[in-house]
Amino acid sequence: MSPRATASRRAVAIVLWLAALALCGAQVARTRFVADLSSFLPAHPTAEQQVLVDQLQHGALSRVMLVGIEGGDAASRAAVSRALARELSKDARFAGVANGETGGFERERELLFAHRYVLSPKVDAQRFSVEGLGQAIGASLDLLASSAGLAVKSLLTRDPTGETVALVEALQPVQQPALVDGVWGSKDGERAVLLVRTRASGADIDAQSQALQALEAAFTQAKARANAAATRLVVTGPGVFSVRARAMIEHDVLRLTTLSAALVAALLLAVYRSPRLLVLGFVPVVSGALVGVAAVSLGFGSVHGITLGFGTTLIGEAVDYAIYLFVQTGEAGAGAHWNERFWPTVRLGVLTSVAGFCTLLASGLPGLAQLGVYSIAGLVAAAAVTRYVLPSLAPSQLRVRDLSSIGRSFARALVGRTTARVIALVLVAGAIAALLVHRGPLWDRDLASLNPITAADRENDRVLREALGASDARVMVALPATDLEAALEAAEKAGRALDPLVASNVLAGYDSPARFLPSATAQRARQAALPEAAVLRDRLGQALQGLPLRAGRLEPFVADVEQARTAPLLTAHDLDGTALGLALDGLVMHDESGHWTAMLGLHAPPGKAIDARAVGAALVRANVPGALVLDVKSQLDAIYGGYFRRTLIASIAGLGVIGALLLAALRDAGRLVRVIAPFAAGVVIAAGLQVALGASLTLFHLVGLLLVAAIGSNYSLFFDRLAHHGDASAARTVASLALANATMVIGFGILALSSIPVLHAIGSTVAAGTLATLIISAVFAPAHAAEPRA
Amino acid sequence: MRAVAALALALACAAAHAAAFDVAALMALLRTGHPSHATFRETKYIKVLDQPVETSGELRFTPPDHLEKRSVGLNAETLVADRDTVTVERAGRKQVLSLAQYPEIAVFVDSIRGTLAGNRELLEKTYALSLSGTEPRWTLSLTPRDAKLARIVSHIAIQGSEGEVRRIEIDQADGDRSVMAITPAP
Repeated sequence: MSPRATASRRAVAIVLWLAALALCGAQVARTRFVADLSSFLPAHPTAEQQVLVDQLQHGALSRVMLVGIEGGDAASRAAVSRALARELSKDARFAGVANGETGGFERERELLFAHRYVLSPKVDAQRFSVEGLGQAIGASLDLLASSAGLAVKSLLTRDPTGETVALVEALQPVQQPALVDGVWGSKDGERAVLLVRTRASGADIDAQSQALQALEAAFTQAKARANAAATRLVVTGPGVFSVRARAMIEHDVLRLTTLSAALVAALLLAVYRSPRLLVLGFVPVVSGALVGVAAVSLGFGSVHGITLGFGTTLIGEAVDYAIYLFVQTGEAGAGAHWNERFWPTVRLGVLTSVAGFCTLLASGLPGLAQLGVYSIAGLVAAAAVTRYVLPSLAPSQLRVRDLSSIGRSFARALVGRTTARVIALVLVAGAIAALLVHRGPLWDRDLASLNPITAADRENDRVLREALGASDARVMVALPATDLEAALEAAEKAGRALDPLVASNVLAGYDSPARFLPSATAQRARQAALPEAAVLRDRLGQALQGLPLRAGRLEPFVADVEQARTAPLLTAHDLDGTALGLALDGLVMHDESGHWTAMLGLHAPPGKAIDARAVGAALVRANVPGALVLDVKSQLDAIYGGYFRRTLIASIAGLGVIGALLLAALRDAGRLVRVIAPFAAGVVIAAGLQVALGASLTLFHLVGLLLVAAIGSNYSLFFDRLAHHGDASAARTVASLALANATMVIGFGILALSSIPVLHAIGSTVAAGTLATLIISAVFAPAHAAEPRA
Repeated sequence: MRAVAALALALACAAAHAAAFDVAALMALLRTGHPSHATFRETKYIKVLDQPVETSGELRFTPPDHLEKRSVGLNAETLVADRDTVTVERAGRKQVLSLAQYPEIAVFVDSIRGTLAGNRELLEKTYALSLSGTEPRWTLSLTPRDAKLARIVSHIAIQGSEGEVRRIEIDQADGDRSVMAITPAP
């Protein structure tokens, strides 16, 4: 090829490269960056999963903040709890706060009293028969004589059948926390606890973050007002965790990327001793990162913060291509020689890495798929830039320092050394032993392990949930409907199916939206059951025979019933802005497409689990259309199990592809085994190390192990090439491998410092596994591999 | 035994003071420090009802602040006041109340607990005390100090003999009243 043709081809490559960078830059500029955890929920959920995902993201459960007050003495904790509740109830960001104090529900009590005859489930024709009236009034008189008499005395003449008392009792939570100094406390009395509901959904992290700040500010005020400096605040809950996770992701991403880039730069500078080479070396990295982010942005509509954090690995891997080019050729500008001799090996390495990252695409987790797209696009771009652009950018007289001495030292220490081989074998055997003697299941199948929640937060959450009795809202019944009325009717029908289960103690109780707002049908039926004034007077006269109460005293009751018969029905609008409206909102959901869902939260009897199958059978018998019984824990486990299976299958397929690629390139079964063995050993050592350090392996470790195979195969390939083809500058090749691996270990190793499980797991696994692979590749390479041969 | 002990204590007090029987002396008599056990019969006179309502059962008190009232029969109910909470169990339903949140219940509970424990300080927090009669037959009158409380209860009269409470009469502000007759259990 003539020098002019080469020059023009180079110019074309540079122009294309710059144009691509500009396009990617434009895409990145309009990219939305997110940091919530929705990317780690299923992308294509089943009907059950969809309801669950909606619940987790927007439902009543997502709006809960669990608050604990620790430290100080019981009296000061109670004082802070009261002051905090008062403070929060004034704040529009909070829809409700409960700390065990019962005062202050005047509006709710008035609503219940005013609408008692359409709200009370006990109102039917039987209740207002002579016999029913006699029984109900008799029971009220008994209550009047009891120690609660004082509370019901004023109600007797207007509500002698006790509907208000029945309503208040029905709305009481099934399990109430213990009272310590008048407010809710943990069983041991060492914490005061509050249940706070935010107005914003748990998925709205900005709003959750503001609410959390408001809560903390209110606590500081309450603490000052109650003069309780020794008290401390503990807050958990889904929204709080999302806020903390986002902060953690933002913090980690910036810190890890900076640290990783600085360390790699320092290493390269120390080795090259040339700032120009350093800058050139980062050209493929920056190009790859830009292309990667643009690809994710195009494919997913937004880029997750965790994906950016994963960028550190790209620094570690993409910089390698430039290292191979510079160090192996000894010069930055003359690429033709390298293109012939080394590019096929690098290309094969890129392909195996891509095969590895493809498993991330297949996992079904959008969060992991983003990492896959980012890495694949980034690596391909970085390799292409190294191959087609980098040699043209570097002035041809720029020489790279001869690093043969590093390569020779490395080779002398490792290549073909019997002692080193023995040590490597012992390590592999040790790792296998660690995996075999590991107690309990090797793979952690708990979805929670994927959540970036600190162990301390998780423990606080458990303790607070236990104290608040909020732990067992784990099984729910979801009822699809076309409008609010249908949703309420479905809830009433399902409630009738569940009542026998409550009676037989299969359930301790259930929460139903129809308790707060009965369907119009139910309200009309109750109105129809109320007798006319004359009829009611007549029946009262008979019913009160033998009771110490004269009918004449109950004229206010007769008037109220008469009024209730024709009063307008209670609507959702009437409940707006009250605790009742809030409770209704938490149990009836509707989305933009007009679908409504009524949720019934089930409560387990003390010390027992809910028999979801019995619940399902009862609903089927009652013919409740479309009812879904959701066991949150088992659904989540099933979701995770699904991810795990898909990732496992994808990993096996990925290994198959890597094997096929290697076989196609090597065309020799013996060499194939020698290339595979080192990275297989690397995988075993990485897994064994995790287990030996006490971690249980998650989905993310599985992905990491596959990446060990994908990336590690690059190293064993180079040693295989050295052993078979020879290399006039073998020491340089070895040096480039050592350097490339060092940057890789830096990139992934720094990821291991992250507190985000996905980054930590993948980082620690890949760093350990690739280092082990390089060393084992070197140790088991034939002694002549590192010697210069033509 | 207890009567003897109470008598001995009374004599000791009488000897020490050599004075008339006053609130301090009564409190000293009542402050036995031992658990006590009695039966009761309570009659409530409620205006809206044509006849009074009667309940009966047993009372147990463990100083300084654990009081149990178990009503038996048709209107069976258990009320346990312990420190700052009251637990009421009735017809299979259990309700726990905080006395801090129900001052109107707290004053009733504390008037009884305060008397049984001989806790003058507690009683005087809410009531003005006046004592009449002699050691074998005394009457302690409790009149609410607080106007808000006076809207609920107008007067409580507690009768007793030596260190034992025999009768508690509560007059409510709306004219209803209750009388509880107490007989120490054997």
